[in-house]
Amino acid sequence: MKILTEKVIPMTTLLVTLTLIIISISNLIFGGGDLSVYIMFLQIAGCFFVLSCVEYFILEKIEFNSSVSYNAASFLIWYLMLGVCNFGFGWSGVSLKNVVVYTLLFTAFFICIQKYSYYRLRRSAEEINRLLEKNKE
Amino acid sequence: MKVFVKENEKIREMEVVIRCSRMEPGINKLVNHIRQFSIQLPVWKDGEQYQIPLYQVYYLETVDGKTYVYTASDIYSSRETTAALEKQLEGSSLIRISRSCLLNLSCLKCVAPLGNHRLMATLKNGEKLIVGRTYIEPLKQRLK
Repeated sequence: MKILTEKVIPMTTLLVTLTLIIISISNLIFGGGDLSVYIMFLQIAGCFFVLSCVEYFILEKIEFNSSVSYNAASFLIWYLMLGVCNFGFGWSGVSLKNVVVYTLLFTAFFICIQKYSYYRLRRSAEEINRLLEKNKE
Repeated sequence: MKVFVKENEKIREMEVVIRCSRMEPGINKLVNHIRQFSIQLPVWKDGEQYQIPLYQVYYLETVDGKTYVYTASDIYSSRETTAALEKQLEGSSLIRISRSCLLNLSCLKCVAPLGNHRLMATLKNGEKLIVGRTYIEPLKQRLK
């Protein structure tokens, strides 16, 4: 289970993303397939990269009193920035139904990602405590 | 492992000699740990200067541009920045855990995860410090 969550899933995600980026750039340069799909994928990859950097630097500068306030701020930043990209780039049309679907899906994914991040952090803490115990001996 | 202590009144400066067949990471750690007993930090309190041995320092923190040195039950000030002290004391048991804090690893009791990608470090005197997410991996590597 540890190998799955710490190695296999992150590596698979990274490789799938890189593969799709390479295929998109290749098809855009040499032609082939529906170009709008590749353009959309590169927009998505680029946006996530930039938004991740922005979110990291904003949240690093603020001292949060609790994890609830931190998670609420993170949710708001991501929801607004991704929403602007989603509807601004036309990944989905602007309608009430699409906003509701976007909100529900975003919330579900955000919760899953935060839970996974916390799980990784807990594993790190356990490893550090094991090393501290070992160093005491 | 055999441990010998030889007392001699004629000796002016304490010497520690480690005899081994070859240098290993564990021996390196032991040497760094012993070295911190010889390092002294110049600190100030109420206008008086003191020399605090490094092993008594729990952590150093910068607050409003001033550096404070925390021991088990006292607080002193230092005229150096944490960045300068970090460089001076490279190889010692001090490690950076946030932009404004250096922690003495030998005073760290345990850590616990927080919900904001940070760790809560509990020291041996019960004080708690925050380990920033950028500094978690270096902390782990340092302990290995």
